[in-house]
Amino acid sequence: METTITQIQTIPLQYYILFCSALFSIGVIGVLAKRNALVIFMSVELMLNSANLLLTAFSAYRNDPAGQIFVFFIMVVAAAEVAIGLALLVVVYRSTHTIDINALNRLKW
Amino acid sequence: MELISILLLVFPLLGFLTIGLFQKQMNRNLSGVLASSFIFLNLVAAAFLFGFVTASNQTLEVPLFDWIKFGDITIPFALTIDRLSALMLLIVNGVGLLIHLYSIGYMKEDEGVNRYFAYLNLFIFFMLTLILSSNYLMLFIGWEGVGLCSYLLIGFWFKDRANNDAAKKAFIMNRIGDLGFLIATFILFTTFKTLSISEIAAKASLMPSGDLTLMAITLCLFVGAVGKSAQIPLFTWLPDAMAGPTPVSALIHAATMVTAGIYLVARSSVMFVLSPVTMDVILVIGTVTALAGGLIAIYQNDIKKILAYSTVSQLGFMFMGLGLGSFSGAMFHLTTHAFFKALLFLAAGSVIHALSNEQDIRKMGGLRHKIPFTFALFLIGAIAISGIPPFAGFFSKEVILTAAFEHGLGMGLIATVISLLTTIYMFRLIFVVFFKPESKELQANHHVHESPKVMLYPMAVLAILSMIAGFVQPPKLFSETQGFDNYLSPVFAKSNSLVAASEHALAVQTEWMIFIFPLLIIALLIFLSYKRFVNNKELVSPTGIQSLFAHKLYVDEIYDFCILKPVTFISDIFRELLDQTVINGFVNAVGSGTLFVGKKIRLLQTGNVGVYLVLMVFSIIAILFFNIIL
Amino acid sequence: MILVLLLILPLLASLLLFTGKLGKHSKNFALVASLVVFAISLLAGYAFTFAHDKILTLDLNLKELLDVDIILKIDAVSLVMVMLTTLLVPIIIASTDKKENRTPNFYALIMLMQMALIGVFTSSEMILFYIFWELALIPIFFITALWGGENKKKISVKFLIYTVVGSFAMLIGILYLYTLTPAPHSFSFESFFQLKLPYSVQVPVFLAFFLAFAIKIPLFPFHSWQAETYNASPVQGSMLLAGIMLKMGLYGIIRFILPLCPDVVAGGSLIFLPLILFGVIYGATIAITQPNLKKLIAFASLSHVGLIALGLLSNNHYGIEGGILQLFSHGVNVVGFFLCYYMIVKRTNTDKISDLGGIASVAPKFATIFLIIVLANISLPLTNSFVGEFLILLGLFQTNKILAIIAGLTIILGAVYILKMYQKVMYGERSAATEKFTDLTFSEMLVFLPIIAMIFLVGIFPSFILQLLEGAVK
Repeated sequence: METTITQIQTIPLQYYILFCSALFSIGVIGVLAKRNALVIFMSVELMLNSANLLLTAFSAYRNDPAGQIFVFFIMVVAAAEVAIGLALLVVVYRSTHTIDINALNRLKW
Repeated sequence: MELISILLLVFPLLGFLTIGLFQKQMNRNLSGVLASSFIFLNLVAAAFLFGFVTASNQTLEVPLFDWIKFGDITIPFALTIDRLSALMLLIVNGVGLLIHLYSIGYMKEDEGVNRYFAYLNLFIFFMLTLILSSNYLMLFIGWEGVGLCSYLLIGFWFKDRANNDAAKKAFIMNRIGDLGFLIATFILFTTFKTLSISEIAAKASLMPSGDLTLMAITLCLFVGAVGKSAQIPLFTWLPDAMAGPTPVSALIHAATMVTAGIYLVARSSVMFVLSPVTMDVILVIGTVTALAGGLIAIYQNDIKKILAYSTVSQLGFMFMGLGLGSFSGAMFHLTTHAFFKALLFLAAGSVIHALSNEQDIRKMGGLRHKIPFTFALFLIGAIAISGIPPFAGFFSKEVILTAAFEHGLGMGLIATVISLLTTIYMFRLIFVVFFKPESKELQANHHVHESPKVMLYPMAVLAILSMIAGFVQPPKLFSETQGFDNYLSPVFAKSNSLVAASEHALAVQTEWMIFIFPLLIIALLIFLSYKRFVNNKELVSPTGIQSLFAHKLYVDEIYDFCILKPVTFISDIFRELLDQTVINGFVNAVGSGTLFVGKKIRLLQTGNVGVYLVLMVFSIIAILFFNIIL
Repeated sequence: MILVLLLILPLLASLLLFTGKLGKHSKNFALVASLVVFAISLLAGYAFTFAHDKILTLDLNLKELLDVDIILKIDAVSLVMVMLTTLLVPIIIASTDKKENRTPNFYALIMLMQMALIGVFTSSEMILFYIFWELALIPIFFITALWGGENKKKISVKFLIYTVVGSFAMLIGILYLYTLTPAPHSFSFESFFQLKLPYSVQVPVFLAFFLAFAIKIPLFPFHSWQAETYNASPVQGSMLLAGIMLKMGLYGIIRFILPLCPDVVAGGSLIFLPLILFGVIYGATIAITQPNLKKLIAFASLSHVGLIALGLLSNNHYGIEGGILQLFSHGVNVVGFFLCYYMIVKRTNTDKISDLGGIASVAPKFATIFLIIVLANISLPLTNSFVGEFLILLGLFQTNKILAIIAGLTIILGAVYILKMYQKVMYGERSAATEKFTDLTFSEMLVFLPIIAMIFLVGIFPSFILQLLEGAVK
């Protein structure tokens, strides 16, 4: 445990922040720009994990294990969410034969 | 004694309930007899009480039970019998009994005769409540109750729209007065913390003359009296009220109910004498009404309407008496007026009965041969009301005239003129109806018949009373004993003590003048009207100022234009414009506005997930941004 | 125990009726059940007069289970209201005609309504009160929406939304007051009454509660649902609404506004009293030319309840006592009025005043009863509403003389519209619609009997109610 923390701390905190921000922005852009539901899903995961990474980093730097524990929770929830999301996508695909989100506008008005 | 006074209320109520509830089952002849016998029992009780009160000279207080009682407010049902109410008891029950008897004959053919007698007994009940009550709120029960009976009896023949209109008008106009009465009770309660008449009189007598609260109270009470006693400006209902059966007109709209206003003022005399402004108002209203009523009566052609305006005029005359401070004079005139006006109405009813419901005097004439008894009775009534000695009207008018001359020469002359007007319209009536040559319709009509005895005897009793009743109090000129004044003096002792005694008693010569001068004019007037009306076959249609009186000063038209039309108009405006368009429109607009906004906002939901996502991201960014800068 | 029975019996009866098992006997069952409830309420009144502190309390002790303590209480005001409810519901049920063929659900809803109303009048806990308050809406909504006349759906929805908006304002007020109560917070009336709010807090609280009550009563200008709903509702629904449900709002004024916002009531009388007074005159004026009999009753009722509200808010114990007495009387009178209306409509199938006429000549019994009820409506002395209106006006007179005099105009306007209506409906010659009018049957007379009895009983012996209320008003 000690070694992990020291290993994490070998890289300066700013680098983590910059990296996570970049990762998060890529996720946001992916969500906004892509039309494929699956890719959007992956971008959302990217955003989630950038937040996870940042949590871990801060946790290590502050010597507070709470952050890392949270990460586990988030991963569990994310996994559940992915399961439901993918299941939805499968259903959508079965009925419409596409996962293009612009085609999925039947719920309007 | 207490039991007897309670019985006074029980008998008529019992009569009303038995006849009213068993209308269907009851034999048509029985109801009249039953109703009359209840009133007869009442008369006996009243006579008994009268004797007791006169002999013992004490005021009988009979508490029944507490009507409204909580906190600091206690309004009991309680009866007060003093000399004033005992007198009224005799009048109401006496005249009431005679008219009940008369009605047995008059209403014989009517299908609603049971209902009629039930209402009549109910009226007596409320009238006695009014007379006997010991506080103003209970008096108000009787006050409104007689109004209700008047409404029911005016509209007795309810199939005819005109009768209902007249009944409605009477009730509503009375209600205007009632509002005044009600406000007076509010001020009374606020000021004195009680509504008991005797306590208020005691407390009020300690207040200074001209007190503003007393003025407000008395003015409001007088508004009530104006409504009930048909004074200007609320007098038009009384002539219309003649739509009811004639005995009703005699009982309610001549002898008893309409005099309730005078009774009320006399009852509250202490407060009134302490409020000179109100007294002046009463004097002015009474004079104007008496004058207007007399003048209008001259130009009417309906036999009952003439008598109705005569009643208005005589009531105005009584109010003049009150306004002049002669309470016992007004009460005296009230008493004699009850006799001869009831007689006149009943005799008029007899004429109408004889002619099968013809009321227009232009179609009458020469009836003195066909119905001689009625003629004689009518003549007695006319002489009595015109103030020709030695009949009753002369004595009571004399008291008020004397009071008027004591007040001032001008007032005296006006009062004399008013009293002379009576002669004109009464003898016009007599000559046209009984002396003028018969009209063609009448000659063709062979059914003209004298009324049955059950109608004639009550009239005869009234006629005798009209002849002799005045002798209880001859003018001061001839006798020192003032029977009527003395009888009522305990009642008005307090109020008389509050005002300084009349400064200048009239000189003997003046009194003779007052006595002789009008008699000469009366003789002249009778002669002139004989000349004019007996020979003149067609009555001249009124012109100029005459038509003003013939149309009763256009008061009805003025009310129609100033009150009825605006109220209807406002009601329509409220209903259509304000209620439907503005208020309901606003509420509905809120509803439809919500729908409209929803319809528009719905379009934001394009269904395009990409748009949602963009909106979401930018919203989050905006929220973060605002969180940072705020 | 009595209190539980008062609530549970109507509920059980209602549930039993909802099952529909009773079929044709539904009406009789509902009638008997409501009569039993009436008997129990009489019992409650009996117990009340002997309770030493003039209050009947029932604590269900559910604190452990629900974290809400259910406490029911009957004081004098509640007792009057409960009596009114239990007296009127049997009359309303009995008035339904056999020919109308109402399903069991109809009676079930009426019984449910009764339970909710009794709940409103007996609960002494804000949340409970609020629940009953809203629960009372549901049955009347369905009665109107299912058995109503023209436009019934639209109008009942409008009515529902309108009143819920008001209730919502009240809910906010309740929650706000809850946060002000000392910790641990409590919803009980006592803790609310002990607050002694400063004036700046009283104003918004007053507005929140007053909005709810003004819509319910209804007071001008929140009345526009009233005439429509009465008109669309079956006559039993109108009776429930006008006779009892409107009294919830007035009860609310007595129960909450008077103790919670005394300073607003005392100080602000020149702001809201004229507005209410305008509504009083307004309703009476509209009634004068109203061509529809049922709407005429609605506007007359608007005028009368406005007068009651004036009395209650006159900040004077005459006005308040008179107001409560008049609450009771108006409930009886307006139900009587609607009953007469129902008798006419049942026989002629029209409620246009101009189509009617001449009924008095063929139906003397009905004419007499109608006349008594009508006269009670214009507060003739010796009928029940005279004492109430007298005390209201007297109380108002102590507060403000001019307002009292203007309010007095209603006794004239009342006579105008009532007599005008009565003349057109009952007098004159018979019209085509009233050609075959038949007089009341014996069973119909029986329905009228309690109303007539109450009119005279309260008119001649009002003291027993007034003295009952004396302690509570102080």
